[in-house]
Formats: sequence, structure tokens, C-alpha cells
Amino acid sequence: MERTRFIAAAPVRSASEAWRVVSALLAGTLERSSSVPNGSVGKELAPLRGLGPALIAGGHLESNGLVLVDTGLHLTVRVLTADAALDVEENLNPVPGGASATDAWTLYLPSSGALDSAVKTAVKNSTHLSTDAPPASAPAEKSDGANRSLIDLNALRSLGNKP
Amino acid sequence: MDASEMIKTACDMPDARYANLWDSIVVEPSIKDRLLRSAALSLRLRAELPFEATALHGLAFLYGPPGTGKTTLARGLAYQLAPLTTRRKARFIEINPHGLMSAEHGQSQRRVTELLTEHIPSMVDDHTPTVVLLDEVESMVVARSQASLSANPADVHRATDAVLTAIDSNASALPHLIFVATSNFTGAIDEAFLSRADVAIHVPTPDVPGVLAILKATLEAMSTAFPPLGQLARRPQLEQVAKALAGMDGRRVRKTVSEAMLGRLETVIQPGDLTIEDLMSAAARIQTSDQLVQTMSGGRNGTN
Repeated sequence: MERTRFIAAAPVRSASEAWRVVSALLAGTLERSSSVPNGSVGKELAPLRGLGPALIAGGHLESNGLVLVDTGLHLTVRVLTADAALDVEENLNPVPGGASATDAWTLYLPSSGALDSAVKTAVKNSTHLSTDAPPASAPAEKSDGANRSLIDLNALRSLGNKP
Repeated sequence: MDASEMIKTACDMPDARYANLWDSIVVEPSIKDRLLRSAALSLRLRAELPFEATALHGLAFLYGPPGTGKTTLARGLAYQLAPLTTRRKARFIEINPHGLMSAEHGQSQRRVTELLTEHIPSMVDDHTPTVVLLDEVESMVVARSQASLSANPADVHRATDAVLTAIDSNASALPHLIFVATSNFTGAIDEAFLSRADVAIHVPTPDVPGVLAILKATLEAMSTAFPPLGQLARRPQLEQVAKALAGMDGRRVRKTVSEAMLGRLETVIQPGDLTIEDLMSAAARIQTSDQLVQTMSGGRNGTN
């Protein structure tokens, strides 16, 4: 399921503070999964520490936003400014789907005009950050019927033996 | 709005507090069988097949008169389901329907959407099979065809739409999620919601053997504190009391025992002294009281 979260920047909060909120939302979502160690998302976002606030301040995350994609997870994070920031209803709870995130999660960054080359350089060596166009939807979870089974058939059979 | 205002209960099974709920409800065994089997089948099929193949929404609907045990059965379902799952674990979440509806414009729809597409999916993100109880669901899914816009704000209509949309999206995205809805008023529920139910189970008032079983179970449960009540539960004349209570719902039948105790000061002081005669007198009082209530409500409604 595709989801979108809106974060308020100026005048509600500074671009740096808004970037911290975005980072916390991403970490809080992904690090619920046992496949994503605590603190690892912050480390992966470290190359954007200076650029993230610049992207927000420049309004580059207003219409396209960041897109987090993983198996069963497709989240767009848009950071709004000016009047739109005053009207936004923020939901900063972890995003559903995060608890089953894999270590193959990817955060796609939108085109940002003058900042493009700096962003590309920053994410060049990252396995989790990308400037490519994000996929339109989340990759489907692997459908392995037997492994995904929720019901124990032997336990179910035992129902027939009860008086 | 805080999720805690919309969610009444959330707990993992097995939880000892829920152990006896299922067995405490005396109904035709096929009612429990159908409910448990529908939940197990829904989990089995939806985990392995796409929605297009199963057309299952993961929605069971229990309907019938008040006091027949619908809510208790739904509360007990997750406990029964837990040992049938591969993880031997299930979760139970109960929605507070009155925490969702608001007179403020647009709020009901927003709360319903937030609850069903954000809070609940987050709570079941670990893929634990989960039963979500929508008790008194008629307050959430008002029948749009029956409702007048002047009497029912458009906001309530949009809330119904929001529930339907959320059930549709969760049906395929969350195959480990099962909704159990209960209602006493099927006519007040939106047809599109009812058509999404994978199974609709009528929970009627108990017949005479059912009433007898409820009386016995109530007396036996009380005999742990007042042992003579255990002997009373085995008296053959109890069947006469059951016949006198025929047609009443299970909750009223249970309350007949305390009604009988308060008939004499001696049995208030020493409930173990209760007799068949006390129970027969209580049954007669309850019948008279019911007839009076029916007459009064008939007069108020202009019907008889």
C-alpha cells in the first residue's frame, strides 16, 4: 500500500529540525524490523546531514518528496513550508509495514536542481540512498505459500477430535 | 486523536483473562464452530492466495438479540485461534466505536481512516494473526440507503465509506487481520458492509435446553463460593425454571439467579440457601417485568 506522510517545516520548525523529524520517522519505521539494527538508519542518512535541511529549505521535498521503498512498503515523505506547513496534520507514528522491512530498503531522493550534483555525490557510495526514479509501488512480498502459512493444519485437525 | 481513545483493548493471546469467555457462552455448537472455522479458513486462504481468488475480506458478522453472547464470543475468538496458528499466538484488539464518531465536520471519517489504515496496520505489523472486534458496528457503518441526510450528517456517510475502503484495502494487504463485527440492528447497517462479510452468523436466544445449561453453569460457577448451589444445579426441577425462562436471552437467564437471591433477605445473607421455588418466583417476576416493558415501549412507539 502506498502511503504519504506530511511534515511541517518553516514557519512551524526550522529546516534542520524538520530533517531531524524526517530522519526519526524513517528510523522509527525501519528499525522496528529485526533486519534493520537500531541506529543503522541514522548512519545511512549521515551523508545527507547537511543536504537534507538544504533540500527542505529549497522546497525540493514539497511536491515530490522522499520515497522509501522496501518489500511491502512504499512511503512518500513530503515536507511542506509556508501556508501549507500551518495546515498540515502530521502523523509521526511509525509507518505500517516497517516491522517487516528488509536490509534492502532504499530511500529515493527527488531531483533538486542546483543541488543535484551534490546529492548524487553524497549518495554515490550508499547502498540505501538513491537518486534514481522510485518505483511506482512496493515490490511484492515473496509468495511462498507453505512458509507464509498462518495456520497449523495439525492443530486444526485436532479440533475434529474434541468432544 | 490519540489511538488510545479509539482502541478499547489490545492484548496478545493466550491471555488467562480470556481463557473462559468462549466456554461461558452457551449457544448451539455450530455457531462457535462456524465462527472459529471461518477465522481459521480466512487466515489459511488469504495468506496463500490473492484476493481476486478468494474474495475474502476477513470479516465475520455476528447478529442477533442483545444478551445472546455475540460480543463475548468475539472476545474469546482470538484465544481459541491462538493454538491453531503456526506461532501459537494471536492478538485481540477491540475498537471503541463511540471514540470514532464526532459531531465535528470531517472528524468521523478522518478518525476511521486513521484507525483502520494507520493504527491497526501498525499494531499488526509483526504479522501476528489478529482479531479486531467492531462491537455495535451499526454506529460505524450506518445504512446509507436508509439514512436521511437531514437526520444523519454527511460526515457519518463519509465515515461509512471510510470503513468500506479500509476493509477493502486491508483484505489483501493484511491477510493476518480478521474483523468480527457484532450488531443487534441489522437493518441499520450499510448493505455494502454486510455484503463484504465472509460469514454472517445468527446468534439467537437460547432454547429450553440452552436456558437449562446456562442456569446450571451459573449456579455451578457460584458454587465455588456457596457450595449448596452446586446441588441446586443438579436438581431435576431446574428444567421447570428453564421452561419458565424460555425466550429470554442468556444475559437475563444468568441474572435470574441473582434476581432469585434478592427475593428473600435470608438468601441475600446466605446465597447458598437458594431454592427452586426462589428461582421460579424470580422467573415469574422477570416475565411480568418484561411484559410491562414491552407494553410501555409499544405504547411509546405507537405499536403493540
